Amino acid sequence: MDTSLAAPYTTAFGFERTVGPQIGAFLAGLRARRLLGVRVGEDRVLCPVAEFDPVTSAATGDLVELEPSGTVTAWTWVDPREGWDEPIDSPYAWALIRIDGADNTFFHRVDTGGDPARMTPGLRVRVRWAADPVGSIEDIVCFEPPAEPPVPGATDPGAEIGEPVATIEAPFHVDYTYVAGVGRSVYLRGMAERRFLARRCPGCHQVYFPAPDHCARCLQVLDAPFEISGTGTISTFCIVNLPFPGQLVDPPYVVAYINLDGTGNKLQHRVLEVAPDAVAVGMQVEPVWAPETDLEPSLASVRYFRPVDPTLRVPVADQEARDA
Amino acid sequence: MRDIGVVAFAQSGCRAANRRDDMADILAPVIAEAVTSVGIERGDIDFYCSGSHDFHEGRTFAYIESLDAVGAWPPISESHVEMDAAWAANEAWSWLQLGEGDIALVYGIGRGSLASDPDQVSHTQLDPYYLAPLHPHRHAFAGLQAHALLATGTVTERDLAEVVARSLSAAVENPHAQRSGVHAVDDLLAQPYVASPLREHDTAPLGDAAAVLILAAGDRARDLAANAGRRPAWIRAMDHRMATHYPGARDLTRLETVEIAARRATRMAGFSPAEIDVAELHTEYSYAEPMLAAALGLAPATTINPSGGPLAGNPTTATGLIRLGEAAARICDDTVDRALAHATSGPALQHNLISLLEGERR
Repeated sequence: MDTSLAAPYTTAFGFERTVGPQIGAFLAGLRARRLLGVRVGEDRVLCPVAEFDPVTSAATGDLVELEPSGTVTAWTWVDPREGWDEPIDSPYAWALIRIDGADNTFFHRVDTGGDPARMTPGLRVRVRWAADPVGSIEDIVCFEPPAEPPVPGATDPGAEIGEPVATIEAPFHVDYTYVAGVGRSVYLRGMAERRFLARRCPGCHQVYFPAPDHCARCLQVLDAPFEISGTGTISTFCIVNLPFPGQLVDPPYVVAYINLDGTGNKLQHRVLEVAPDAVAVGMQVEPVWAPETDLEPSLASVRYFRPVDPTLRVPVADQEARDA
Repeated sequence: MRDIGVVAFAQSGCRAANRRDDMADILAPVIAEAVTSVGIERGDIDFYCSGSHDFHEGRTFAYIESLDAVGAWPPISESHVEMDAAWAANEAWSWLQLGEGDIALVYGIGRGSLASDPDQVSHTQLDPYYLAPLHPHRHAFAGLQAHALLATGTVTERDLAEVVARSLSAAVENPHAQRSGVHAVDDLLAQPYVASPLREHDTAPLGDAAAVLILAAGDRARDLAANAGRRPAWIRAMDHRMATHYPGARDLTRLETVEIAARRATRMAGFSPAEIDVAELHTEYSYAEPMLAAALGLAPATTINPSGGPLAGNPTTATGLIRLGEAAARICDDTVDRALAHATSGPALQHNLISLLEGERR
């Protein structure tokens, strides 16, 4: 078939990221609903605070407290995105704001209640604080035009600035489509039918399982698929003793490179139904398929490999049989 | 300096979403076309260098799959940059300048279609403390820069629409273009904003494609190009400069990195961007064209993006390399004698690579 399988998948990491001492102090200020700047060189102030002067690369100096207000210097008007947890429901601006007393500009949102006409050059804005500040740039929900000119000294004095923030949460989440390609789709479709479909290169006669569409050695398009038994020989292996999130089998267990009979490459898979210390290079193994109802176009249709010699087999623990 | 030139350029068509091929299969025919055109075999290539980005692919070390398209057995000498492949060309050019070999193959593979929502990917290139957590729209920094540019009064929204109209009209002649057509400027201006003052057509359409360049040195380059009925497009200079990562720390209306890179490239090449015939600019946004033209000091008669440029097709990490290929191709086929190629990376034209190319009488 000249079409490819494709499937959605998500990559996500729950990263935590350390911040520098100056950035940590700035974020601690936000947590207390106070806006800090930092001195650089003779007479300049940066807000947000940087660890190093972007012009001279020198370490930045003393922190100074600034009024949480400023002037818009540039903006772009956008609509809130569907499927995103946007803090503003109506259209808003991404803007550069020169904080009063600072020499650089601050990138953040400006909310004018959904009215783009209120975005004008030199627009005066002030910070709208988050209800529950945690020590993150998101403690500022956005900037907004003041309803009326602020009375000096009447602004929220904020809380005591505590210890500098040491780390911030930096999650990563992207939804992707995996495109297997016409080559690998052949073997994947075979997996859903309990078949191992291999392909041979007409140029160098290398046999691949799984097979891409063309030979990675001589670049020729591979011949038509043919079925192999799925039995093979352990080429090398390791015993996994380390637990990790998402693990399908309780350690210890064996992961092996298996040279499937009739192919020239190696397939990585689990080897179960055998005591890990009884596994050896050269051991003959055979596939154990998932039940009919669980078959899918995936290598997961082969739950694991086991020794061909029944005398070497030991029953898999109930847990492993269920999870494998 | 050695004479190092482009002797072959090939690319696949820019597609909004290729759902048929894996990375190697997109690349393999493009490599074959470039290699075959100059009458060499794989074994003749001394060095491979590529550019792609895992965040577009969604898998770590995703580019390894692309090595299946170059035949990496027996082992080859190769390298990879996690960015636009124009920088892979810069690495290969440096490698050849160092005398490590005579022929290098550079490829870029870009797949902008795999992430379901490009906004989930774009923020990963940003400052992780102050910018990425806000998840800005992917056009946010371009919108800001365009707004700042328009506020100077030197460029109007109509100018931007004219850039789009000219680019898409030029792309009609480009069989690899993803988007092309003849548009009236007033019709373009009637479209809604996606990130004001930018409209959809002001932004380059993300997609999937691969591009391949073959670089060669000295007489080897002359021979290879002659095999294809071409002349080498000598890369007389390459220079790249990067601005600081926080957009609020720089003047967005001034491309100092481009000015510096262009000055240094001019010294290296012996001719300036003002003396070239064709410029292929990595304009992921329409507003970038007038900004770059001004920063480079291009002469008014310079032909800009005769291919249609990125506004006609933007296969992420192959887009900058295609600029180099398109610029070189016009020297290789004797259309012009001098050309400039520009590539960019990062938000709001943060990092810029300038190449000056030249043909010789044959």
